[in-house]
Amino acid sequence: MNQYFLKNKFTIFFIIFIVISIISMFFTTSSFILTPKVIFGAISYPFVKAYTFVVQNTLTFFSSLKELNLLKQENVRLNEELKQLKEAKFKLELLERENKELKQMLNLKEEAPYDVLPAQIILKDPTNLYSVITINRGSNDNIKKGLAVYAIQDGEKIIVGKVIEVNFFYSKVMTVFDARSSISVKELYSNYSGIARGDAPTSNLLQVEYFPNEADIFFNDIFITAGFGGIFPPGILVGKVVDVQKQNFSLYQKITLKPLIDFSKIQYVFVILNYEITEDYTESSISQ
Amino acid sequence: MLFKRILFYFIIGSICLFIQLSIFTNNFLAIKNVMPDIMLVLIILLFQICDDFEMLIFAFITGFVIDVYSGNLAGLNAFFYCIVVALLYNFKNYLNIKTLPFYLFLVLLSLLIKLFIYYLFGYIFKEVFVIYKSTLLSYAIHILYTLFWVPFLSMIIYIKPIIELNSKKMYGK
Repeated sequence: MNQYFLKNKFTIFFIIFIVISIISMFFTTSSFILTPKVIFGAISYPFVKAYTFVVQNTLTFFSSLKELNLLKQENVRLNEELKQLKEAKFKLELLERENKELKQMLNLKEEAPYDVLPAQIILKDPTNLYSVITINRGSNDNIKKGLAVYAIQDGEKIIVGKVIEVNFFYSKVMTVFDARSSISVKELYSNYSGIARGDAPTSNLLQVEYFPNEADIFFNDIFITAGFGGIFPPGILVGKVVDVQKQNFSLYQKITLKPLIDFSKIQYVFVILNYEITEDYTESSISQ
Repeated sequence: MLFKRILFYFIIGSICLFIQLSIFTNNFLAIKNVMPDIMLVLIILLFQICDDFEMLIFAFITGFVIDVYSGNLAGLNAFFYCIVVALLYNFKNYLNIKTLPFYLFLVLLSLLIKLFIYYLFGYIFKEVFVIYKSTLLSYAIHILYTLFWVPFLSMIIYIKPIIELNSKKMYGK
């Protein structure tokens, strides 16, 4: 029996398979729930699912690799674009700022009762509290020693200093911070005046001397140029009060000003060309 | 050895089923929505190098998988593949199946038998399986496309590990 089976196993199995196939075909048309198709499907489903999982993931893996490469290229391109845009934005901001400053300068130049020459600051030394700055105008542009220089900051005229050295193409400006600098100043709403002296490099403050004791000065009061001396025109902002010391047995009080000029913010200044200079400018008059 | 052979059938069957049933490959391989019967070509080719009984089981299982996952009439392909293997088994002593033209002839013959079986069962199971006249054109494309694949698939029996795995039948006779 066993030998017969082994000898004819091909035929036996062939018949079995044919019968199963035909039965399965008949079951397809019947209303039976448990057909060979269903049974075989249920048996083979885990394999098919695993197979689908592997195939899908393999395909996803390869498509991901392709996408990754594309993303890498896209990333490089976008980074390059971002870099260019950042550069463009930076340039635009610079131009915008410059444009704004120049517009302000132009407006105020037109309003000024004296001729002014715009100049660009080409050198400034922050280590010495900006006591001397260099501008790009020289004797070639009719710049002379002793001319007053102011700047536009936040839409206001603020005193910078005066020209102390003139070369052909550039000039040096001694700022209000410099210890040699002295400017006649007055309080914005009163007629009391005094002389503001610089204190660099010790401090970046101005000391107001010869200011009458009877004047009531308070913290944050604004001081402007008084216009005495013929160098600085009146009405240009100088600084605000940070300290007041009344002297009991003196005619004058000591006032400390913080200059309003901020050299880290400005790039351009104006040189006042034709304001009447009533005194001869000498090195000694600078230090007074 | 038996495990290796089972693994061989599993891998080669899976690859062929993937090619024949997967939507992914269908998008690339189908011509006018017609796919070649790669499994039939494989069964005929493997019959030359593999054990007859193993091939019968392989044919039945792969045919049934195709029926379950793609056919209208469950068992039709299994039936057909079993018939093909049985015919090859009965005529193997008269067949010189080591030449390409004979491969092509066998595949063509098998496909015509398949058409006959389809018509036969289409007549019996009219409600689920209908053969239209327009189907004949598709079937003609199917035959040609399947024959086109024969030379490529015939390379399988020249792959050394496959020959070594089935050397008993190849050289033992």
